[in-house]
Order: sequence, then structure tokens, then C-alpha cells
Amino acid sequence: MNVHEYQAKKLLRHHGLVFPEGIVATTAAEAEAVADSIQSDFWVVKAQIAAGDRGRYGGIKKAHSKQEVGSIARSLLGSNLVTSQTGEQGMMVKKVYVEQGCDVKKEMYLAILVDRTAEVLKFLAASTGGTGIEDQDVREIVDVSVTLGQTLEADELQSLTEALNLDKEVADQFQKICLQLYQALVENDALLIELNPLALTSEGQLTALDVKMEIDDNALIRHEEFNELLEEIRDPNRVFRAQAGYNFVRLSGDIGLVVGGAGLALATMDAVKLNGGEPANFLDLPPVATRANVIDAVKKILEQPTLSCLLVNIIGGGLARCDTVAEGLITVFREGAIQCPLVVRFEGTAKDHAVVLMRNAKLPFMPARDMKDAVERAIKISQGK
Amino acid sequence: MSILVDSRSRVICQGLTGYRGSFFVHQAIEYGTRVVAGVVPGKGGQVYLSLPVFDTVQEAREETNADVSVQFVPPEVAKDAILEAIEAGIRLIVCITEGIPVLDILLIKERLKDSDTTLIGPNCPGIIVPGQCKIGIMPASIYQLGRIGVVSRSGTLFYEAVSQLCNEGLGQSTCVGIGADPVQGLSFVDCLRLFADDPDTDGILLIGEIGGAAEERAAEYLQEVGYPKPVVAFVAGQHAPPYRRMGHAGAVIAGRTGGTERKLEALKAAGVWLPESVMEIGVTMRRALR
Repeated sequence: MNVHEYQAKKLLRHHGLVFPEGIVATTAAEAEAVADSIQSDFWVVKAQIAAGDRGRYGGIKKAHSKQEVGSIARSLLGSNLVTSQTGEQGMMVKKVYVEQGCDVKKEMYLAILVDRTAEVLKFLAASTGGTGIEDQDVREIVDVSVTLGQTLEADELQSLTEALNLDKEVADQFQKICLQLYQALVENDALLIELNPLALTSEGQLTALDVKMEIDDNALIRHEEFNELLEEIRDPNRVFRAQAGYNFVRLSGDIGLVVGGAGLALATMDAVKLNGGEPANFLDLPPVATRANVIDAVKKILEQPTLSCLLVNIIGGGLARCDTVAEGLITVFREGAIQCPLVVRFEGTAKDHAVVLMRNAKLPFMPARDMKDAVERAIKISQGK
Repeated sequence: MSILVDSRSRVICQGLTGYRGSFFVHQAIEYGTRVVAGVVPGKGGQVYLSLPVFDTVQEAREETNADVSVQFVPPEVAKDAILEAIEAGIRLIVCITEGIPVLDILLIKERLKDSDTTLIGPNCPGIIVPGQCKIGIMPASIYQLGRIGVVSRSGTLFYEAVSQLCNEGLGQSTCVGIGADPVQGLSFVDCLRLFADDPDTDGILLIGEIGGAAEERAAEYLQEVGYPKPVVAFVAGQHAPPYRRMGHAGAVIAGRTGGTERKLEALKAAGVWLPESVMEIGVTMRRALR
């Protein structure tokens, strides 16, 4: 789960990290009042969405007067911000963060993350920061692996510090930040904390102008304190298992997909696309989908008014049962919500019972022999054949 | 023959008395798996599903000589359960539990380095040797004994692929679901190594998906050793919704790995057979065996 900048800064301040003074606002008037309360020559107004690359897409702007803070806030709030990381639907801006401007002498880069490729925890540091970091020559980015459960060694800290070529006094500040980041990652179960840019101000202070923080969804079971934070990042087009019991992403096509298991769900999308169809969504029902999960997810798909059909591809295995999915579909059907044709492929646990239930409930559907048959039928309907 | 387990494997279940644990152990016993005991802290001395229950893995191992542990414990306590099994000297841990925090698995990986234990999973369907033993949650009815080794990151797609193999008359020697969490125990490369030496495996089916670099590593290994058996691979997620990991660190680390295009390219270069679509996995394996 990606958290908003203002949420990340709040969490990280508890670990001693220092940021420019800033307050979140939900209206233009509030934003002006915030600017009034923060002494500064200029302010930075930042759209709060849980995705990055805001700077290049107009989500971060400088203001030189309170009035300007207000007018920028007015234009950002309620708008739909599209960046390279939001997907084409973009994300609604509900809050802006108004921050004290600062005079920057040098911009650097520092991150700590779980590297899933190398399966280790590591720091990345570079003497230049900003948006183009991934295009930089990799030799200029220093990469230091650390062993989870052990404290940072002096030589590990030293190689990070050398990478940034810092004066003694700033180097001490920097090493302290590294230790704070490490502690913050472990205590918050973060997968990534990225300070970019990490700025050296004209007063010789190191401060992070922007923060990206990703928290491990799996770890929410031991962080009740994040419940409020979760509430704030709700997005109607994207549902996560940690919030709703299933994963869902709305897409722009017309074939609704009801599939269990991420691998089969991805493969079904691929097969639909390969045969010239367009999926309306990605849905990954969990291995132990309940009837309530199915009802909820199917209704979510049906919110899209232009569906040509629903394609159900379920392989019952373990505790996942075809008849549970059938029961969910029947409930939604009885409420009158299913208006489009239904193509159903059931395989594995309780597939025969599922078919009997749907026939008894007089729920009209096209049974498919296998996945190929199901995808081909759905595409024929979609293409009006 | 098979890889990792067979009809002689002696299996204990951590989390036996929970809903999932008892459901699957009941199925496993019916299938013929030698389940010898359960481990549930605080319930030692009880008998459940006709099996003795112990408080600790150590006791269970000493009393029953078990070498495999299958885990259905809740994610909150999975780290401790796995570490306990490693310390007790269990040879193979099959962790079905979904939703274990990534940092817990990182710590477990550190401990595994200094042990002789192998971990399958977490968040995986488990392992099955058709006709011999089933240690996991897969629907037993779809598997048939034969000479194809299957290894998959996905669960449901794994079942889809196996039913296609059976439709082509191709049974399986061993099927391993390794799971798709960011950090995993047993890898594709580990399984490919084992299948290479298994005289009862003629071909290998590998089911991958977007994210991580497990497929790229497998391709690298296959090329390096000049793999002796035909391999078919399918990688799901070509049209997945855009990956939304924030920030730049992911891109710096992953470089060009992670996307299906790069994975397929690497696998193709390693001489792997690639089905045109998910629906042609079975027929492609048949072709590869000719």
C-alpha cells in the first residue's frame, strides 16, 4: 500500500526525521490559512495522491503569496491527476499539502527498501536526486545490503556517506538519517522509504523534500494504527485484499471478469486481449472466497454500465468451491443486478453442484467446456456475433 | 521416483486443529499421505483425526521421526512456527499460510541459510506426487501419475495447466506450487535442478507471472547448464494493469526485469518452449516431448 506524502512524513517524524514545516488542507481557504501560519518566502503546494511523479504532471507547484497558495489549491482540489504512475484513470486530489519553501543548495537521493530480486534489505544512495534517478548510470548509485535483525555497521554507513561526498558535519546528519530510516522501515513494516530529493539547504541542513513510502499489506494485521491511514487512501477503481478480501482494478473494456486466484486472473485477461477482447476489470477472488466476497466483487464489476457480458472462470481447489461462487451470482441475479449474458466455466471442487444450483435458480448462463471455450464465447458476445 | 517427497515422507501438520488444517489433513490422509502427527501449542497430548498432537515440533519429530512439516498456522504466528520447524531439524517445510509479512520471510531466509531445511512457499498450494502423497491444498482429482514435472508460482493457473496436461494424456511426476509472494523459499531454479536429476521426469512445465526475477533466473540457469530436458513455460500478466510501485527505487533495482516481455525473451533465448496462449499449454508440452 502506497501512502500519501503527508502521511509518510507524519509517520517518519516519530522516528526523528526532519522535514520542512507543512500542513494538509482540504479547501483553498484552509490552504491559505495554512500558508499564513507557516513563516516562509514561498510555499510549495502539493497534490496528495498515493502515486508518484507528481512534479512532472503539474501536481506540485510553488506559490509566492498566500493568494497564490489559495488559487493553486483551488485548481488542484477535486481535480483528477494523471501521472506516469496513476494509470490512465488518474487519481482524485482530495487534499493538498502546503509546505514551507526552502533554499536548496544540493539535491541527493536516499532510499531503503526490500529488494525482492536479491531478497535482501538495502540502501540506495546517489549524489544527485530528482526524477531521473532510474535513468542514471548505475555506477553512480551506491547500493548497500544490510542484514535484517542486525544493527548497521560503521563501514556500511561509511560507504553510503562516501557516495554522497559530504562534509564532516553533514555526514553526521546523513548517518543519523540512515539509522532513522532503517528503524522506521522495520517498525512500520515498510517495503520502501524513499527520500527524493534529500536536500542540503543553504543553512547546511539535510531535509527530505519528498517522501515515498510503501507499507506491506500483509503486515496490516499487526498495525491497527494504520486503519485511519487506510481509510484515507480508498480509491473506487481499486480495491485491495487487505481492505475488502479481494483485489480489484477497474479497466476500460466491456468484458467483466469473475476469476479466482491472481495467476488465473492474469492469464484470463491475457487470453481475452489476445483474442481481440477488452477486459472491464481485474479481479482476484481469494482462495477462501466467501459468498459475501463474491457478491461484493460482482456488484463492483456491474457498476460499469457498458458491460457486454460477465465471464466467470473458476477452478475450485482446496477451500475454494465453485458452488460458493454460484451462490454469490444467484444472490446478485435475484436482486436484478445481472442484465448482461453470463458465460461460466467451472472446474474442480463442487463444479457439478454449482451448475445444479444455477439451473434451479433459473439463472440463465452459457456453460463453457474449458477456458478456451469460455473466452471465445465471451468475445463473440462482446463483438455482437 | 519423484522430487522432494514420496510415499515414505512422514508429515506433521502445524496448525492441525484449525479449520483449514483439519480439512486438508483429512484430504491428505485419504489420498494416502503418511501424516504422522499434529503440532498445536497448548494441545499436546490430545488425539485429533486419529493423530497424536504435540506442543512442539521438536517433540513431534522425536516421537514420530517426521521429516516434513505442512503449515496452516495464521500469518501472525507463521514466522515463529517456521523458525521452530527449522530449529527442530525438519527437512522440508511446506508453508500454505497466506499473508505473512515480507520482513518475517526475509528473516526466515537468513535462518534457512545456516540450516539443512528447505522451505516451499509461503502462500503456495503445496506439493503433490500423483498416487503417492499430497501435501497441500490442490484439488487431488485433477492430477494423474505420469512423467511431467510441474512448478508454478500461481495456484489456480497451476490447476488450469495440469488439467490441460491431463487432457493431452500427460500425467505428472511431481507438481510443486512455490507461491508468488515477493520473497519465497524454494525457487524455479531449485526445482529445475531436482527435475534434471529425476529419472522419472521427461519434461518440465514452468508457470510464472509478472514481477520479480524468478523467470529470468530460471532462463539464466537453463542456458548455463545446457538443460537436458525439454521445458515449456507460460508467464501470466502480459496485459496486467500497470504496476504501481511508487518511487524510483523499484525501477533502479529491477532494471529491465519483472515484465513479461523481458521474461519471455530470456526464456526463449534459453531454448524454452513458449505456448502462444494460456489455452495451449497442454498441446505445447506434447509438441516439446516429440
